[in-house]
Amino acid sequence: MLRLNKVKKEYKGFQLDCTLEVQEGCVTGLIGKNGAGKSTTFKAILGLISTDGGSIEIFGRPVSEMRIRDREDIGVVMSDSGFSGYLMVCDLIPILKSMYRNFQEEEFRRQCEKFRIPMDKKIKEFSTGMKRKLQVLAAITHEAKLLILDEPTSGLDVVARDKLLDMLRAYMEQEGRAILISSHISGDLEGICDDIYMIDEGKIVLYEETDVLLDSYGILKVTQEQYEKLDQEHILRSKKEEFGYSCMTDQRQFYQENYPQITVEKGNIDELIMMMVRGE
Amino acid sequence: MKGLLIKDFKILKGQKQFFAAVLVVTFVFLMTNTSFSFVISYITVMAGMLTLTTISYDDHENGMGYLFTLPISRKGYVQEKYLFGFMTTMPVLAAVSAAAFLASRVRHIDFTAEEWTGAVLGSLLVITVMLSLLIPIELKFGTERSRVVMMVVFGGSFVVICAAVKVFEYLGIDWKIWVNRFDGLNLSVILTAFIVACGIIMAVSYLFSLRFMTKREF
Repeated sequence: MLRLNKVKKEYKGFQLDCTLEVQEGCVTGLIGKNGAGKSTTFKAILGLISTDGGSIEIFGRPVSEMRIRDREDIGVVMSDSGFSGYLMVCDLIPILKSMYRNFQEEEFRRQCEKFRIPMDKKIKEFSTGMKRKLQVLAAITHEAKLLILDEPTSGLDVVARDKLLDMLRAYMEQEGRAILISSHISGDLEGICDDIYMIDEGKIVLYEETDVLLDSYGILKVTQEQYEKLDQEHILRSKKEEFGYSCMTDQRQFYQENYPQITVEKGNIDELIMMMVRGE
Repeated sequence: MKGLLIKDFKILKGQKQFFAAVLVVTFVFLMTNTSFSFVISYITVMAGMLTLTTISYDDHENGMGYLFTLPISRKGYVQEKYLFGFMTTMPVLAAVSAAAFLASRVRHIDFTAEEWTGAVLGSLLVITVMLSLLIPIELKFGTERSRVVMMVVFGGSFVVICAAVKVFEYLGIDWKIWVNRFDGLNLSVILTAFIVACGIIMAVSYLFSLRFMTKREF
């Protein structure tokens, strides 16, 4: 569905060098701290910025050769922009209808009602969460094959976030679809993603299937003495702590079985990000 | 492009106070002022500002970036802005020109057909030059920076024109002779020249706008 091969973009003090792939039928997560390159990657995919090298293909076609019709198959949520605040939701309906041949007006209206998005209020008066929900609804109600969602759950309360993730799960029930999603809320990604890319300082530092990440990865908490005796073969990152070291491994079971005296934590995605970014 | 036009007209729908003010100003001017040519130009320029307003609104909070994630090409966006400019200014020019002609007859003020034609063509040229200059500036520099650029352009143009007049005076060249040459031409020649000139100005402006938009990053 989507393939980035060594995509490069250089800004002063920042260099993106990204390779990733989103397979049909998969929800792929892109995680990283603020300024890691997530939004730059999304903008490069969407052709909003020029690139300095590499290639981007969507539906097997280079992004520079994308036709307007191809764009109808993509639904987008941007973290830093959206529909003009001077429009109302009722104004958007004829606009979306004329832009997308498969725009499902009834479904859009129904979902707006469900999420309590007012039809006759200017978008600039919406809260961040409401704006985000509106973008998601617009993205999923025109039969898009690929969703590119940059922080779609930011600004949403727990209930709305849950509803929104349910909508994305429902969206994925139909064959031939895929989602690339970024979020700083690890719970969102753990619950919905099939695989995850971790980006730091513009580079992909980790790629793994979510199940593997949660089942096999772990954090070892060891003293200086234990650290020195530890088999380092499966240690991906280590970080000096007051008590000794925190070590990230992709073979949690190996250390649980062979080093019963050390503390082995399952580790959530947040902790894994911390270790990948701050560990050595 | 249809979706973009709908969007811009929907945005205009929220400008009811602006339209009401323009209507009142037009009515007051036509009923109290004797310079109908000025009224025609002024109201047409006000209508031309609407296109620039829609660009500002698109640009607000990086909204233009989001627009280009929808099935819209940059070329289509630029074309739509010129079309929208045409669609909003031409009916206003026609309406205010007709109203001015009518007001001059009702108020028994001398406003000849030649003066009227001159006012309409002058307004057409003013609005063409204005949009041709300001659309690319707004697309290239965005709303905030374009204000500074506009001031520099208009200030610079004023200085250049004043300097040119002074230089002509110093060299003893009477530039008014060039203008007076138009008096001898018949209307069809002037009209054709006008349309061709406006077309060329618009085409050059469009090419610049397209270039700016193609290179712009969001």
